[in-house]
Amino acid sequence: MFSGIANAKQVTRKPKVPALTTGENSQLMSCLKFIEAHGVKKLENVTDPQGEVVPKVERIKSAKGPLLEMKVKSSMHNPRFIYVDCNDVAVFLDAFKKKTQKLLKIDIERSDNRYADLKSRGDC
Amino acid sequence: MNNSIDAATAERRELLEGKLVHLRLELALVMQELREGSGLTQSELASRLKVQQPAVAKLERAGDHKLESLMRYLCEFDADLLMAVKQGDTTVQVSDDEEHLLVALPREVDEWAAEQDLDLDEFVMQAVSDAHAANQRYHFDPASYIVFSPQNENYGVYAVTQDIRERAA
Repeated sequence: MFSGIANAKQVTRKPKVPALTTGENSQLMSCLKFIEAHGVKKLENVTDPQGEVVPKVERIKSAKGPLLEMKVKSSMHNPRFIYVDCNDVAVFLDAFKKKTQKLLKIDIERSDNRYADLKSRGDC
Repeated sequence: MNNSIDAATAERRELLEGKLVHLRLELALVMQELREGSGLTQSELASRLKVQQPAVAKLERAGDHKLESLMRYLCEFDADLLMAVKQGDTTVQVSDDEEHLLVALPREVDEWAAEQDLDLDEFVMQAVSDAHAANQRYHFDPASYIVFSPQNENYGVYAVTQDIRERAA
């Protein structure tokens, strides 16, 4: 039960679609494999954020920290992932499946906070 | 019935996306490393290839490449693109196989090589030369596997062939 939320209806929610489709997942796996083999910086170097071909990796300019956004090809969810380069290790801070063109400010702020937290603990 | 076939086809197509991503990323990285290793700038390479610098930059990104552009790029560094088509147990090399043969190896070979602290190429070359030195016959066929026999202890671990022991006997 949630305290302080009177009359809030408690429901068990099940997602109607899988978190990622098979195709989205296989693309993500390939990217992770590449990062594991060659490091985070290489992924940024070989992708073309201006091009039409996925995956795309670009720096989030409006973020305070050095956050990166990765997009994979999708016909359904338009998934994108926010991660940060911690000594050539990719630390994923958030993931989204939205049809919106750009990341929302509030989402970027949340990732910024997570990054700041990591940094303050000396993990990044 | 039709639904299950459709689902299988759809899944194969979906998985193809991941394979494409893998190929594009690895190709782009190899190309970048070839150029950087040779000490050429993108502009210098562009003038050799008789294209503009942005075209070279585009080739070095994980994009949709034309086979012809790829081959021309690699040719500048005396590099080659080796390709094979694999379906089930059959592997057919489609690139020119006069210099190198592509063979499908069982996944375990990777682990065997790691156990000896060798990379896969070194391990295979050692296995081939050891089998040759031991006068064991082996047969390379681009449409077949090289099978390593863990029972052979002549050179530490393995022999190369499609059952080398049987052939030697």
